[in-house]
Amino acid sequence: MLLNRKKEMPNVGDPEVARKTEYRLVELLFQNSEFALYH
Amino acid sequence: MTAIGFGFWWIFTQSNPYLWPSIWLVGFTLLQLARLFHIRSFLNQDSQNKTNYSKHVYLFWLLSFSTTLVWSSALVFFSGPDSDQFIIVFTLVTGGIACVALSSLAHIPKIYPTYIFGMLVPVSGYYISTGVIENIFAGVTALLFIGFGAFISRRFRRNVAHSISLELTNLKLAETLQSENSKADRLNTDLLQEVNKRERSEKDLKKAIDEARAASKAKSDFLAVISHEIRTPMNGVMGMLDLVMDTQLSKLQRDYLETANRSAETLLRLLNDLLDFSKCDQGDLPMEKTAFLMRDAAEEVLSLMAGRAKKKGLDFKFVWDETAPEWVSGDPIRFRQVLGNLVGNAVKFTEQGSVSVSLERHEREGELIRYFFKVEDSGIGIESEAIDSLFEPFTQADSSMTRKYGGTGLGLAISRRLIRFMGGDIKVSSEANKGSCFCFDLLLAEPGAFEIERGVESQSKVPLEMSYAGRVLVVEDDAVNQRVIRLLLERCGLDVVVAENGKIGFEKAISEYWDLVFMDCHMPVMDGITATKKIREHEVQNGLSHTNIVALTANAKESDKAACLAAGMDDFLAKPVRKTGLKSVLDAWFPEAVILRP
Repeated sequence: MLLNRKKEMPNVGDPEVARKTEYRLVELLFQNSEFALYH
Repeated sequence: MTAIGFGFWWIFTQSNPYLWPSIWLVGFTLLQLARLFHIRSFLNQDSQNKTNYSKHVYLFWLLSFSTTLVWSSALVFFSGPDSDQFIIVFTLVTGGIACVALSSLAHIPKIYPTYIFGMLVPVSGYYISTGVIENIFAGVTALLFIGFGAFISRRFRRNVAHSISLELTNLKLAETLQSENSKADRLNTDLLQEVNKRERSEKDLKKAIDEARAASKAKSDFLAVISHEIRTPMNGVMGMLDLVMDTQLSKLQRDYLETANRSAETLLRLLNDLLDFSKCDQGDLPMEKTAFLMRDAAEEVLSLMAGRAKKKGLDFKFVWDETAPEWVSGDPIRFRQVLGNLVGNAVKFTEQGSVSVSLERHEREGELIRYFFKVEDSGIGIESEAIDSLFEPFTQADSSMTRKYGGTGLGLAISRRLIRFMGGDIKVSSEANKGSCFCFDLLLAEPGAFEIERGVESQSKVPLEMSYAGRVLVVEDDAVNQRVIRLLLERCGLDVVVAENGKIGFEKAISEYWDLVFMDCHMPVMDGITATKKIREHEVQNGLSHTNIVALTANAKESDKAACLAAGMDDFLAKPVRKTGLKSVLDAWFPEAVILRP
């Protein structure tokens, strides 16, 4: 995990949800950066 | 960012040499292309390969940090005599880019703080290094902005993570809900199928119950018809036997006749057993409620059995709980029947040893008293596997017993049903060749003073040889029965006239005075019920006195008796007619009889 679950996602109890949340954050990182580079 | 870099290059090269700015622009553009290529390569991956994303994130971090360093190096590459104005614009643009980058780089820790560090530290250093107080302030402010940006980026990331986790949780809940809905739909379908199945089963069950009821009714009707058809000739047989036995006979003739009489009585008992069982089976067994002395009733039964026991050389014991109340309220006939069945069996199946009958104890249950009886013998006993079916109808412990000892196998089945009708139950313990023990209990009421008084009256009637005087009309279609009843009544001193069907009986009944009318029920032309109704109507219409009518029928069921009484008859005498039964009816309707001998 790139994110510290206790600090970054204190309200998320389900490990599967935490894993998917981190993955979604990575996707957003790449997608938003692509958008910034194009524009 | 590349476009902004190109803008810087164009503005700067208007009044400055373009070599170094051009080198910077090419390097910066190549780096941006590398970043774009890396981002595209990650986004174009299959979603399954994206799960191992750590190395891509680290590479992304490295490239973005490199971008900041190359961007900040513009302070070196764009230096020249007119660069002061450029520095101000560059600083403003760099600050703006650092702010905007928050939305795209703050999702993963360290990336945005590193990015803002790389963008602003060189600018801040440049300003502080000038030594001018305003520039130092601007440089320090930029450093503070780095810290603030790192803090804000963390809060931003936590909020985004929270939103995403909520969305995912909702999705998961929706999926669970959908799955549960599907399960509920499946269960609903199953339930519907089960309901349909049960409805079908219920219909089948109802049909089966109707069929069973119809079969039971058919059996009951069959028994009633058979009973009627057997009782009619039995009346002739037993009546004639009674009459013959009252004549002068040799010892041998009397012995033959007594044997025939015993056989006839056995046949009658079997008939009564079958009827009783049928009534018990349908729950249609009315129980009398009269006061009687239970010990006397028991002794009466046991005195009959004691003779048989004595003949077989058995030790016959009778023990009675002396503290038990003497009078009870119940059905003395059924009580005698149960005790007679059990003690009769004990004597029948015991070849040597003893038979013991006892009222062990009694217990009060509110207004009622429970009596505990025990009938024990040292007879042939019962195999353990036969005990369970012992109380089933037409069952004896061993089929060979029927041949050896006789009996129908109905006695215990009827006894258990009668005991249950009297609020008790029966249990048996037995060991083959050692003996049996039947324990049963009865829940009976204690009679009131008035009931006891009536009980005393009925029990004090001693059978006597009587002579009666009066005119009796016998309405009977069967020639043999006409003869039997006529002879029996004439022997009692009565004047008898016979009518062969209901119509003639009605005409005779209304045209003359009769002390008593015996009315058969099933007759050709007009049945006894109709004839009785017509007699009663005639009496009412003409203001005539009441004629005493006694039903004399082979229909021995309680419902038949009720039908006769409802039609207007006063009493009921079942065929075959025995002397004792006839005498009790005559005693009731000829109160001034003459006693011939006690």
